[in-house]
Amino acid sequence: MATPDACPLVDPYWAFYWPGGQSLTRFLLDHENIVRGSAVLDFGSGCGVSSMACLSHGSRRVVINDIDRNALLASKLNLRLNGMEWNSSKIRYTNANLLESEDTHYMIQDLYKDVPVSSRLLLLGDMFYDSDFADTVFRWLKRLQSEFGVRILVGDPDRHPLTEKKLLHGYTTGFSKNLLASYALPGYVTREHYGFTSAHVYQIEF
Amino acid sequence: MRVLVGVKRVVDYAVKVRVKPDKTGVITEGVQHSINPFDEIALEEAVKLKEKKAATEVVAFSMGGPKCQEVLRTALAKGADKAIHIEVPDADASKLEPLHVARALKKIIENDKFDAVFLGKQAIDDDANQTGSLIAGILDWPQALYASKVEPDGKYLKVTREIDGGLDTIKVSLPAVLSADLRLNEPRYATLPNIMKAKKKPLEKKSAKDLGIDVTPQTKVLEVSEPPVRQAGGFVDDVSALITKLKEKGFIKA
Repeated sequence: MATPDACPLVDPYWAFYWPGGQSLTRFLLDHENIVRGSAVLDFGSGCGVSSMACLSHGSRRVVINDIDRNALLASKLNLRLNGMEWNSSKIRYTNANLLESEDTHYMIQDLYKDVPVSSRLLLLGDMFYDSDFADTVFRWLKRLQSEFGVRILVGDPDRHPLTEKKLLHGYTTGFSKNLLASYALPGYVTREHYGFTSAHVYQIEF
Repeated sequence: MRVLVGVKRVVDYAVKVRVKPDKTGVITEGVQHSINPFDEIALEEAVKLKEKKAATEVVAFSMGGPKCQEVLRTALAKGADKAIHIEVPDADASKLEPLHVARALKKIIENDKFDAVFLGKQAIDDDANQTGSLIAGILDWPQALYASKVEPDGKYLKVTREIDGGLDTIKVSLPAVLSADLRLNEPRYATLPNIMKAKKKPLEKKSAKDLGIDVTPQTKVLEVSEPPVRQAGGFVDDVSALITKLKEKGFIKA
C-alpha cells in the first residue's frame, strides 16, 4: 500500500470525492427543479462532480472554481470521461482566488446576469474544515448574497466549523443554517473518512 | 457521550532502544517516535463508538514536550475530533510520571465535561500501567481495565476484560475510565484524505504550569542498563561431537 507521504502532489483535495461533495451532488441530482435553468458557482470545485450534476440536470451556466489548477484539470478529465464535453460552451474554469481578488467580481456578475434570483446557485461541498477559513468564506458569502441574492447550498458531514457552538457564535457574520437533506454515507466512504457516517445539505442565509 | 483519549508519544515499537552511555535513560534523540500502540487501540475504540453513534465527540489528549503535537495530529487523522496538548518543557517530559498525567486529565475534566476516559493499558516505554487506575481513583469513577470488548449500553459500558483465569465481563456506569488491551481491536491507518482534513482540526495547547499541575518527580531513576548480553555459542561438527561436549559440560550423564 502506498503511504500518504509518497503522494507526488501537495494536498490533492481534488483526488477525493469528499462526503460533503457527495451529499451536495446527490441533492442536486434529486432536485432538478432547483438546478434547471440555474447559473452555478461551484466554489472549491475539487473533482468537479457537483458541477457535473448541474450540467446533467439543465443548468444554463457553470463556473468551476478551485485555486488548485490540478483540480480544474481533474474536473475537465471527469467531464470528458462522462461524455459531458458537449456542455463546454456553458462552462468556465477559473483558478482565481475569489475571496481575495476584487477583479473577479465582473465574472460573478456575468455568471448571474439575466438569471432569476431563485436560480442563482453557489455550491460549497466540504469546504468547512478550518474555522479561520470558514470565517473568511462566510464574510464573502454574505457580500455575495446581499448583492446577488444567491441561494447558498452547502454539503457537509458536520465537521467542527459548522457544528461547534463556540465557533458558530464566534464568526464575524451571523447566519442561519437550514437543513435541506441528510444522507447516510455508504460503508466504503466511512472507511475513507473516519468518524463520519452521514452527510447533509444546508442552505445558508445571512 | 464525549470521550477523552490519552495518547502518549513513545519511542516507536519497531526501534531497537539503546541505553545512554551515562545510564540515566535511553537515547531518544533522532529516534522514530509514535503513539503508544495500546493508546492507539483505545483511540480506535473511541472512534468506532463515534461511528456507531454511541459517542458524540472524541478528544485526544497528550502530555509532554512540544513534539507531542505530532502524535496528536496523527490521532486527529485517525478520527479524533479535537486535541489537547498539555505542554511541559522537553527537559521535564522524560521525568513525567503517571500521577502527573492523571492530575492533568483531572484538570481537563474539571474544565470540560467528559463521559469517559479511554487509555491504553500501559505505555510501551515505562510499562508503568498506572495512569488508568490513578485517574479513576482521583475522579472516583469506576474503572474497566484491560478491555478486550466494549459494548455501550445507555448509561453503562459493558466491558469484557482479559484476566489471568480467562474473561471477566463487567458493567460500569458512566462516567468511567477504560483501558484497552491488545485484542480490543485493530487500529486503522491514517489515510491521505484524513491527514489532509486533520491539519485544521482544533488543537488546543495549555502549559502544565498554567494549569497549576505540579510535575515534581516522585521517583528517581538510579540506573538504566541493557539486558545482559547472551553468550556466544560454539559449533560442533557432528552428533557424536555434540554428545561428547554435553557430557563434558555435565548436561547429560556419562
